[in-house]
Amino acid sequence: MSGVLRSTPGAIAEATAGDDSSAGTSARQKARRPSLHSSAIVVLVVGLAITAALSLGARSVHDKNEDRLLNQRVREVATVASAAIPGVETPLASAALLADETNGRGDAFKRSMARFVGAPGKALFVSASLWPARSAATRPLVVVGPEPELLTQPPSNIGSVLSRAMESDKLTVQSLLTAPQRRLGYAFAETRPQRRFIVYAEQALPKDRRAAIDRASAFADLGYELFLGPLPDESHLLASSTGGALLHGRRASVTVPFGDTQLLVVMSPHKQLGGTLLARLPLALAALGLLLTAAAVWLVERLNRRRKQAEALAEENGRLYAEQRSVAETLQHSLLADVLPEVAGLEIVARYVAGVEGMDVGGDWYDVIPIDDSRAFVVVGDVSGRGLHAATMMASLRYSMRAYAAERHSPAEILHALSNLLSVRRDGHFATVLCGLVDVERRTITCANAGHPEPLVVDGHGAQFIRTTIGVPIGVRPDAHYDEVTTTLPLRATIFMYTDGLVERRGEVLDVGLQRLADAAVTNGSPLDEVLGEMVARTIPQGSDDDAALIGVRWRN
Amino acid sequence: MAELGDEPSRTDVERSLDAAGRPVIKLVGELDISNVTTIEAQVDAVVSSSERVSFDLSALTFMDSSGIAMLLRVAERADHVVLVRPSDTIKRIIAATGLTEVFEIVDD
Repeated sequence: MSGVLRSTPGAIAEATAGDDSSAGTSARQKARRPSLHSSAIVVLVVGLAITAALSLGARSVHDKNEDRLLNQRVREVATVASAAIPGVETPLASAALLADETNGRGDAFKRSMARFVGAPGKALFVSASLWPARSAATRPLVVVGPEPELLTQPPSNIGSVLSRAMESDKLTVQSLLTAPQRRLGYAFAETRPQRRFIVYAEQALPKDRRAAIDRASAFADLGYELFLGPLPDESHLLASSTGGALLHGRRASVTVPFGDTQLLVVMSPHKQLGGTLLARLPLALAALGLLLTAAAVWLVERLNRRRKQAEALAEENGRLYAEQRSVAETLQHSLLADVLPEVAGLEIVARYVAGVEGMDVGGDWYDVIPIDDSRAFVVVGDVSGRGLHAATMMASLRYSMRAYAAERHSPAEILHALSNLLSVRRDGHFATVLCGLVDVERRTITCANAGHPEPLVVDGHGAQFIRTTIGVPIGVRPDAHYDEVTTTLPLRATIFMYTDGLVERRGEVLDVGLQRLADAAVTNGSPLDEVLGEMVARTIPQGSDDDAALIGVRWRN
Repeated sequence: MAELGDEPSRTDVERSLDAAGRPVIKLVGELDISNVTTIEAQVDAVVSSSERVSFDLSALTFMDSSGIAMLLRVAERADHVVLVRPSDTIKRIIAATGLTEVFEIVDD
């Protein structure tokens, strides 16, 4: 069998040379190669969707986390800022109380404020002064340190500060951001029914509005802006970490009560508050997702192509097998013609029973070769194995026998000649052949047998096998010698020659099958064709795995 | 013969050596066209350079013409092929096929 499979592709290629459908199919497959299969596209879309969802999710988590952390920090700043306000208010309140007690004595006021007034950055205030509680006042009663910057302002502004201080219980905060020296002014009046004095102090602001946060501080990782009043307007900017340029990006703000006004604190992180890992997570997830998606698409695409290739291969194999079988069947059918040559005085009918569907064809054959008016060769043979190779072996043997028969060789000589044609070592097959020379006039059959089941003879008295000298099958050894046995047949005799498919059954001794055939061969005057049909029906009622050939030869009188 | 589409017939190949150190191949089960290629590959591995090969056929229940062809191919390469204790069925097939003079058959 392996020999058959190995040797056939060339023949098949030849047989299919005119069929360009396979070439067209492969060309189409090549043209389609660059595009993705639908399943790979689904994997791509799903992979990208999952990647995007994970990345956006991580980004959202990161954003929320950053906002939460920033708000937390801003609240901390607000707490610190709130705590700083009493530091301003307390000295002013004490001085106001003292002025009230001392009826505005200058030396007492100077003494109480001296330690709070000094150079910018060294002391809390740069200037402190005591004013009469009159909105029309234009000059302070007492000044500690340099003149207040308030004096550079129009009188209406001065009056506004004084009247606000008189009406409010809180610290009055005055912006002097546009004054020659940028300052904040604080005014406080003693909270008694009769307000007589107002304490006023000024605090210097950084000239460039820049006040960097100490690197070691808890807020070193934040940028900030401090506005007087509720609006983040540049004209109200008291100080910032950048010195004027407004913060951008992620920001959080909080307002802190500041005397009679408010402070607006805006903060922005210099870096990721939650750490760089969380910040990079969305990008990392996106990269990983894209990588995994690409790998998955590649894998799915590869599997798809493999499957397609396997399917194409299976289809191709199926086609090749079908063609091979078809070629072998065609060959066999062409050799086993339905119409046998006419031989005067003889009725000859043959049957070929193919094995069960799906198998390779077998190497069984029969032949009738008339020699002259009264003689004809009747041959049955069986090449071992199956398939195209076995069928071609059969064809070779069959035509060789015809040639030798035409040269008037005897049955034994013909088999001897065949023994040099076939070699089981070289060809992988051997053949059994029964070669009979029928003499119509003399009612004899001369048989030479190369390992084949012996012929069956049936007459009115019953059936019996013709004894032959069984030699080695064709192909077993070259120059094999065969003996002939000539048998004289009774009147109205019918000779049956057959192949082992008709008699051989698994798990059964051959003789049982031979006896079954003999029992089935009841002639009793029926047409020979019907007799053969009956024999096939009774010996292989379910059909046979193996092919089987049967030929019957009957004298017409 | 088994159909090609069916599962191959089950045959085991057991290899051993006889008292003289020559290979003995025991075939167990059925040997036919469905598995002959597989079996022959295993047999070939043993037979390669041996002058005398014994097949123990006592447990072989069926052999078709493909199996016979395999034995014939082995016989072409080995000088002498001995079939040990074949069943009556197989012995009868060998006789009917005219191969008794090709193989030595040993019954004990």
